[in-house]
Amino acid sequence: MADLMQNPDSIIADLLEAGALDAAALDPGAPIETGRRIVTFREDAAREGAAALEAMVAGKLAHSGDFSGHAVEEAGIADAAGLVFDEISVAVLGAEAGAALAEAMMASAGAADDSASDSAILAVEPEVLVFPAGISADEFLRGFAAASTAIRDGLVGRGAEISPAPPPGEDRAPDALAVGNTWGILATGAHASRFSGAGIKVAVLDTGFDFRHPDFAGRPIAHSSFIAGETAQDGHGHGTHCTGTACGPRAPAGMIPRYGVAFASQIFIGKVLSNGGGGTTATVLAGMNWAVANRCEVISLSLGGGGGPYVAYTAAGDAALRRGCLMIAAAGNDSRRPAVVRPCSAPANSPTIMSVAALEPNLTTAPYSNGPPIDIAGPGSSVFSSYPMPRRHATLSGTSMATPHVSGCAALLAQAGGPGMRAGTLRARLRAMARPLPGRPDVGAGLVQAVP
Amino acid sequence: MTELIITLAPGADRKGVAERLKAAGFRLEQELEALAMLTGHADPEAVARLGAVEGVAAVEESQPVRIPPEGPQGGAR
Repeated sequence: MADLMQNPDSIIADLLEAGALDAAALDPGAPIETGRRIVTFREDAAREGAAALEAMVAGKLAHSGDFSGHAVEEAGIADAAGLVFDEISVAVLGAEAGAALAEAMMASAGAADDSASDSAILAVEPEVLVFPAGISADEFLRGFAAASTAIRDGLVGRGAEISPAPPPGEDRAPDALAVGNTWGILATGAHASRFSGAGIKVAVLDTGFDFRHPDFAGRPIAHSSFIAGETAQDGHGHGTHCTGTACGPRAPAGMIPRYGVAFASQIFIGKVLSNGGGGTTATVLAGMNWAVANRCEVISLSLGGGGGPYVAYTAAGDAALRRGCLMIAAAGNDSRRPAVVRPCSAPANSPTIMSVAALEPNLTTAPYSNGPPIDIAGPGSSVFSSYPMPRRHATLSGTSMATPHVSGCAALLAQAGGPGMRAGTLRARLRAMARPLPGRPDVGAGLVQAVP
Repeated sequence: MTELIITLAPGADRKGVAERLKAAGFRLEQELEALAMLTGHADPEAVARLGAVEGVAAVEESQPVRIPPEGPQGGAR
């Protein structure tokens, strides 16, 4: 089993000896575990989680942030049970510490259930190597060696590159390695879903998309701009972030957690907000018309305005439903709970459109999240996702971030349920599958859940 | 001139309604076929007249739409 800093060649040797790389294990669907474990902390409690982890494994953890200005050196973490990547709230545990953690968790399994949502530790998962499907065993093994090197280089080099831009040459790691999942992916259960959104068209009507983003390289993206004088290229950032949450990749390259729900869905980018972030009812309706005409089963709207419900938005939502499309929109961020609760903004307040509230990582209603009418809630605060280059990724908060989590889950469910699972049926099923959050105001049916 | 959204009544003939609206002072800009809507501009005093045109369910002013302002919890990093 791999130790924290074990040489990648010897990891492969160990796995070969254990039979993990024989023909049966080379099934592309079968994950190859390295023996290390990935621990994901709650976004706002990484320090607390690391302390709890140290107690559970009775060992010291090294922190990437402690190596400021220098690469994480092997000598510096030789005695460490694991390494915490503070900037992404994730830790990697060596095999020995991982086994100790598994024992500690078994011992407290009964108590863990009730306090799960309050725990600083969101998930413990085996570290697995992820490769594109449909490659030969020979390619797989060569890829395995390359990926192992990438893990090791990632561990050693991370301390030196706290800045988001990796050094040239490492920009595209040779193979994808998923480093855990964001809290939104875990809270919705998207990481455990058998579905990918394949065959489902997801329209994101927003500020456009960064078509040069490396996390989406090779992915076909349909697009159209409804803003005069601007292409669909995202000059703002919001649209690229929302698209990442709904449709981002299963395993982004580099030491990046999975942040996208429907990773194999077909992406439709409709630019209805300018690079300055503004639009009008007319530009939004033009985008809706395009998405419905293209029969996008899911239409994600992280935008809003005052007043309403408007006849036009309600009629547009109805036209969508009659053609098998479901519109999902942000409730808005105008509240300051508990003192001030504002009503849901338009178009989310139209009864033919699904409205989405935002949750904090501890699953309470986000203080900014608007009030009725609300259908469902999604992870909204401290959401990590794609962002236009060169920044690459960013962490943002809002009902804008909750909405694409619901849209992604809708795409997974539409794929799972087939042609009968569309429009109003899809909406009802999403609500029925949501995790109820008793005592939390204005969350509708509760936290959206991915179909297992 | 005000930007307007015209929602057609169910089953209304879009081309015919568009012609009647133009005759009533509406400057047609977009035909949203999949949604059965028209967008364009008209003088504010023409709005009531447009609403009375046969085949029109509603006339609404286009509103500003924006990205909801970011919640106080996060902030880009």
